[in-house]
Amino acid sequence: MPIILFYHVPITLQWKPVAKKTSPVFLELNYNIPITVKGTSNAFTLNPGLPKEVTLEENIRAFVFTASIGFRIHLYTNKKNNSFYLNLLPVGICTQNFRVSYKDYNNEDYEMLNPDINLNKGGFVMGMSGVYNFHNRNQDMMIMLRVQPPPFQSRGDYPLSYNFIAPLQLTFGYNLYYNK
Amino acid sequence: MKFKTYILKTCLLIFCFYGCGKRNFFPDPDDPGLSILSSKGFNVATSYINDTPYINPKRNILFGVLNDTLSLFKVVTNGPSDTLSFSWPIELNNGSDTFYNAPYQRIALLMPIAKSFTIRDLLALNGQQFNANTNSVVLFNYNKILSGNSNIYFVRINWNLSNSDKNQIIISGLFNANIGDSIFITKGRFDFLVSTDNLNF
Repeated sequence: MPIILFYHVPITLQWKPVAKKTSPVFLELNYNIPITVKGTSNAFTLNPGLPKEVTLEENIRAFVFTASIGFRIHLYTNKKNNSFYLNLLPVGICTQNFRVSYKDYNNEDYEMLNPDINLNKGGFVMGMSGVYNFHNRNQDMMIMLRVQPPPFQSRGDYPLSYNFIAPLQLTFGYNLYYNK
Repeated sequence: MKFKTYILKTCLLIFCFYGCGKRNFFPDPDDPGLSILSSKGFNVATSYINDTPYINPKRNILFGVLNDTLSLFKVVTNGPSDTLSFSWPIELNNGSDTFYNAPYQRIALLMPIAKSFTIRDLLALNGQQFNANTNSVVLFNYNKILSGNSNIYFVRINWNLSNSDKNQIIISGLFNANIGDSIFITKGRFDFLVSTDNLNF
């Protein structure tokens, strides 16, 4: 089975429930807005008045949402006060929602061979990310590389052409501070 | 006490065997009661007969599964050509439990073949469509045999590459048929795994 690559625009929100700077615990919400992946599928007909085989455009959109509890481990701070952290996300819940559509599919006359279907499943996940914080007088910025395996969940027996997603995510963002 | 334990273990074992059968029926959302068109060797065939969905049965029995799958064989005739017969038992697939009272019990698709027909010729049918001028269909209705014309499209016929012995062929395709003006078989699709050890050609 060929590997299908899905592309997303990730949005990540991290929140430290304990205001103390040394507290390692944080909560993370992660939502991946899908970019449609295009493929092809073949459909067949017995109708002698139509082409016996047609190739259709298949569109798959995969929405991924993850909520995790994480622990931040400080690894390094340089003279400019830039710092590097390793975020461990040992427990998370991830839902993956795949929406499949076929362009111009005439399902009255044609039968799709091994069609894909929609899938919406969730399961437990683990994750890990490396975060580099750029210290700035006005606004701290960060760059994060995050990896997460697919959820611990069966995909079912249906013969789909795609698998659960293991997101590899590169995020650029701001650190916002607030005082109670 | 020992006897009771023995009985309990035996019952558990029978229960396990009884529940082990699983069928690869994946419903087509566009055609209620029918399976999707697949080419995975799922041993499933569905069609409408006068708008009622039919399927080849698969039943769990004690110590295994009775899988009523494709019976594929060459019928040798006295004429210039022989006949290739694809047949399988059928039952209603509309949720009603009428296995013993279903109007039709078996379907057979028949097509003429050369007397020298081999497995290589069977594989060469991949992607070919045969119209009603050449093929016929037979429906078995208790003591009656009803025959008519059929269209067959062999969408995929190829070796099962996941089988290390290389003695299995996956045959999948579409069919429709009519028997006179009263019986119409529509939207037929099949996906069978055939062992070449059981073929008579």
